[in-house]
Parts: sequence; structure tokens; C-alpha cells
Amino acid sequence: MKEKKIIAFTICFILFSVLSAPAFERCIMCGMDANKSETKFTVQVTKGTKELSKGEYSFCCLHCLVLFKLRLKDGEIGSILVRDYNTVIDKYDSGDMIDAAKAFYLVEGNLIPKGSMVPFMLIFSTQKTAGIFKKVYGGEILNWEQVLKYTKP
Amino acid sequence: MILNNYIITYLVCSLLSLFMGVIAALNGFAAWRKWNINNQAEEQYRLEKKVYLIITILSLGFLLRLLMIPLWFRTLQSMIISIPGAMCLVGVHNAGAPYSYISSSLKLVLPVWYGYWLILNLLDRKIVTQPFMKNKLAALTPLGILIILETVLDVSFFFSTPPRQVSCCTSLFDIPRNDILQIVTESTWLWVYIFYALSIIILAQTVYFLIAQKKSALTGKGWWFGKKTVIFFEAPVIIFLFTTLVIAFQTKISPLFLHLPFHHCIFCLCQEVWDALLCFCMILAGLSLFLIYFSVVCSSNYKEVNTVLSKDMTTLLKWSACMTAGGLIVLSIHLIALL
Repeated sequence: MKEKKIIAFTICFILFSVLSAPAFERCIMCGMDANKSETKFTVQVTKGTKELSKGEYSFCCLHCLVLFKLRLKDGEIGSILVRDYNTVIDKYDSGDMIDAAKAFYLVEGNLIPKGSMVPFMLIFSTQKTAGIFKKVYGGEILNWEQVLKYTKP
Repeated sequence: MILNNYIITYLVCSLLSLFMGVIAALNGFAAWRKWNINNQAEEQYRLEKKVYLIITILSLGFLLRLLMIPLWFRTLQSMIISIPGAMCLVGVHNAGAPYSYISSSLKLVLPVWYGYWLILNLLDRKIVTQPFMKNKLAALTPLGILIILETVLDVSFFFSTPPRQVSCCTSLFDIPRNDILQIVTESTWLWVYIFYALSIIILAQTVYFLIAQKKSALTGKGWWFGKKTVIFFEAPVIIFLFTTLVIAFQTKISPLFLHLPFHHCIFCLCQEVWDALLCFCMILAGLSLFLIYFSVVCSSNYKEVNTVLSKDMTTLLKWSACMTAGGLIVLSIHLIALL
């Protein structure tokens, strides 16, 4: 009787862990909390694949997004939004989401954004703000096409 | 160098085990050469006293090394926060490569040796003639050298790992490749099927040997006792089964359990899904015990002592079967719940 109780308890415990989904918005590539990341990307997948249905997916950094594009193969991506570093405040999931293609990327600077992964970069909506950060932390400002080439998988 | 409570604790334990490893390496070989249980001379009496003291110290040493394995992985996990870019143990390993990778691989291989020696010691103490004393002493020097090597690697890793930027598991495992790494980046059920098929074969074998071992307690005979060929046949199968478990976790089980269709990382899996870690440890322990069983019964002088040790060997096999089957059940429940 005792053994049966232990087995039933174990099964319930495993099922509980299986069915309980993580409470945060995960980066679809690496599983990190995308909302926590100061370089969060949001992608609209307009055509899904066998492995991934269409919908909106979040990423912790550009590196994960680049890998995702490589993995997606037949799928199609619509809009890509990214978090403006200049609007991030000391609060969970803060900062405006802007069009990634129109943003400016400060790479190789000395400031590491929180919750992100290599290559570290700061993302801004205007070149002027990126320039101010460049003066303080150093680095190089790139546009969308350049930063995609810069971010190697 | 990164320093935290876990690293300091690990380094202290390492130094203690290094001290024991040095004792083993120095005394094991000399004692093995001079040991003769039938010798009545004063020298043998003194040697016996010395050997018993060494064995007691080393039993503690090997036990300490076994306990240090979970501590090693916990210590690596505690370093994630100090290494920019790391999000699981792959990042920490990358920060201190190649020492880290060699050290972690040894943590999976050496416990079988430590376990073998500890179980052999336990069995040997049950018989007055101590039939496994020579085997135990012969294993001391290589084990001592391995402890020293492991300690040097661990310490080198901790002292040479700067808190530098690293790339993590996504860079290593999630890029579509055309080389050997493609095996661990593909999303395929193949390795899961191979793993289950082999596991069933190994479990069936365990049950067969369990029944045969029980029967041998009455007759005193067993066709596999003292046969080295059996261990040479079984060891590669068990090692291959363990390899398929790792690849199955990496290829299909990790994307499935993590709910991340493109992420293949056994470290992230074991870090986030507790029952995956549980079943991995249970299967590893079960297979290790099975390997230890064969290592003991295939030694040349086991045949003569089977009647005395049969009950213990049956218990060993029971534990092996329970661990492996338990791990498989945990894994299967999770898989069925997801599919």
C-alpha cells in the first residue's frame, strides 16, 4: 500500500512538472527570459513550418534571431521589433519596441546590456542617441544590414 | 579567477582528496607487490596493519570523490552568473576549455572505478581469506594517479577561468551543420528509439543474470563467473547505451521537454527539467552498477566465493535493475504526457 502511494505521488509530481508551463516569456531559441533582456526582439512568423506554427515569438538577442532565421528554412518572417535601450528603465519588461530595420546598433562598446548574449550590443531608435552612448562607452554604430552581417551564427 | 562559496568548498575537498590520492599512489604498488596472505612473517603482519589503515583512509577518499561529483556540477552552475554570455554549463565549460571538458568527462567515468573499488572492498571484508585483496591493491596506484590528475585538472580549471565573455550552447549546438556535430543538432527520434531498444535488451539481461545469480547460490556454479570475455562484451554495450542516452537527450528530448523546437542542449535540459536530471542520474547509476557487477564476477577468484557473496551480488543486480527501470519509467511518463 505504501509503495503504491509513493508511485502515485511520483507520477503526479512528474505530470505536474510536465504540465506547468514557465511563467515568463521565453526566447524561442535559448529559453532565457526575453522580457528580462534589454535587447529583446519580437518576430512575427507569417508562414509556419513543421516544427513551428505561425505567430509571434520573442528572442533575448540578435544572435538567437539569426540562428532562428537559419533554422526556419521554409518559414516566412513578417515584422521584426526590437527594444530601444534608451527607454529601458529599472523595471521588468520595460522599454519601447521599435522597428528593427530602422534602429541603430552600438557594438563592441564597454557597456553590457542585461539579460542578453554575445555579441553584446545596445540598440537605439535614433543615431543621435547611439552617438552619445558611443562617446561614453566606445564601440561602433551599425545599421540593420551591417549588424546582420556582423552577427555570425 | 572567479571565487565563490562553492569554489572554495570544492577546492578544500579537492585538496583533501589529493592528499588521499597521493597516499594511494605511493603505497598501493608497494603493498600489492609484497602482499601474501599465507605468509606468517612479522613483515606481512606489519604490512596488513598498514594496508588496513590505507584502505580505511582511501574508502573515505573515494566516498568524498563520489560526493564531489554533484558538487562539481553545482559549482559550475554557480559560476554562470559571473561569466557574461553564459546561460548554462556550456558557457562555463567554454570559459575554461579544455580543462573543463576533460574534468567533466572524468566525472562521468571515474565514479564507476571508485564504486567498483568500494563495492569490492565491501565484499572482500565479508570473507576471512580476503580473495579480492590483490585486485584492490592493484587498483590503488592507477586510481591514486587518476585522483591526482582529476584534482590537477579541476584546480587548473578554477585558476585559469577568467570572467570573460563567452558564447553559449546556442552557438555550439543550434547551428545547422554538415560535420560530426550535426548528429547532436538534428531533431530526430532515431536515437530515442535506439536508446529504448538497447535499454530493453540491457534490462532483460539484468533480469536474466538476476535469476541466474539466485540459482547459482544453490549450485555454486555460473557460466559467466571468472570469464573476462563477458566483461569485454558487456562494457562496450553499456557504454554505447549511455552514449545513445546522451545523444537522445541532445537531439529530441531536450527540444521536446524544454518546449523550444530548435534548442538542443543537454545542460539546459538538466538545469531546467528536474525529472530529466533525475532519470539521467538513475540510468547512469543503474548502468554503472551493472558494469561493476560484471567487473566483480568476471574476476578470476570470484568462482570460489560465490556461495558466500551470491546474496550481495543479487542485491547489486536488483539495485541496478531498479535504477535503470526507474529512470526509464520517469522518462517514459514525461514523454507520454507530452505526446
